[in-house]
Amino acid sequence: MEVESMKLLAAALCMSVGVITPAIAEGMIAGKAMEAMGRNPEAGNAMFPRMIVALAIVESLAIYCLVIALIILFAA
Amino acid sequence: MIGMLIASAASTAERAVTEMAAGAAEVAETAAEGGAGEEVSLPSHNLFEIGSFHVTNSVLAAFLCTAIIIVLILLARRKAGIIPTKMQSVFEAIITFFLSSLEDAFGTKERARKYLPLFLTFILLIAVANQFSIIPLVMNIKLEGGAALFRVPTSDWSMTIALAIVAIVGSHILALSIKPFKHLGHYFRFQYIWKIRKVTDALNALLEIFIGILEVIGEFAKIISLSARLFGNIFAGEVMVVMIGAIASFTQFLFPMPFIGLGIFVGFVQAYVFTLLTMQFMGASIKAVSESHH
Repeated sequence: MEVESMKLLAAALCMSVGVITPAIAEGMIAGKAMEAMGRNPEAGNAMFPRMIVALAIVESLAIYCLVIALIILFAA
Repeated sequence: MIGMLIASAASTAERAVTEMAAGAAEVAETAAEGGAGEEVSLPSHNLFEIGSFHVTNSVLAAFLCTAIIIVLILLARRKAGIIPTKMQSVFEAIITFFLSSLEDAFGTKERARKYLPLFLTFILLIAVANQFSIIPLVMNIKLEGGAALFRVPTSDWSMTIALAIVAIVGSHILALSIKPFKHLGHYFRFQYIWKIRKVTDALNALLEIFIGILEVIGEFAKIISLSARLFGNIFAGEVMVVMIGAIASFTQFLFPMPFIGLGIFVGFVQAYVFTLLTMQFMGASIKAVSESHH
């Protein structure tokens, strides 16, 4: 196989396998946050920004995979 | 003097990254044009050089962001008084929020007050830089050859690596200025060698030295993770908008709107996450070298 098609395959595989675990983790974080906000609706306004920050930190793992895929595609 | 050390570290790293990235510029241009017809390139376009310092289009955009922040603050100060105006109360809310977060991370109120300007600079600069693509006409100014005159500053990996280096190397320099040997003792744990009495102590000493080396690698991992998080989020937002516009001629209108909205939200969140993580790292290293005063 030529290098070009291997590059495309590598980038696609990198992204698709790499976001499986961060997606599961983000779903768990959001689920727990929904449960806690349902138990204690008045504290929901304090919980929501903290959930967003936790989601951003877990999402960074998927972003690392994206950076590797972009490097494969755009910078040899 | 500490500022000079941090600035020289950041400039050498930025030069190294731009040289690495400029070497791949040829491949990037041809790959990008063969892909979608639109220009999206990883390294930023060199405008001119001052000595050996390359001024790229993202450096120019970062200067413009600084000018925007200065104009905003001067506007907020104009009618400032005891009864706050709207802009003044926005800035006061940001400052009080960061003072309380810093007090949690650093321990004492004096340290929080002392290091507040650095973190306010981080949050303001990164938040304005992430939203740079919203400014109406600026991004469309193009030079001959097709490259844009301005580029979202944080979509350039050099800029985010420079910010991360300032954050992490700054925390090390601050901890070293308080207590050098105690700080170095976290990473080069040779003090356990002198306490060997039995064979198990020797194994313990070897394990501690290995853990110290892992901590050094962890510091470099912090720099890469901080910079890659910010860069990946913002660059991916830009790439998505460009790709949606390149599908057909009519997809340039209305269709990118949800992605641009997501980009605005992600820009604010990532600015806050960067500053929060820098606060935690700096606070942890300063707390580890100073005895608690209370």
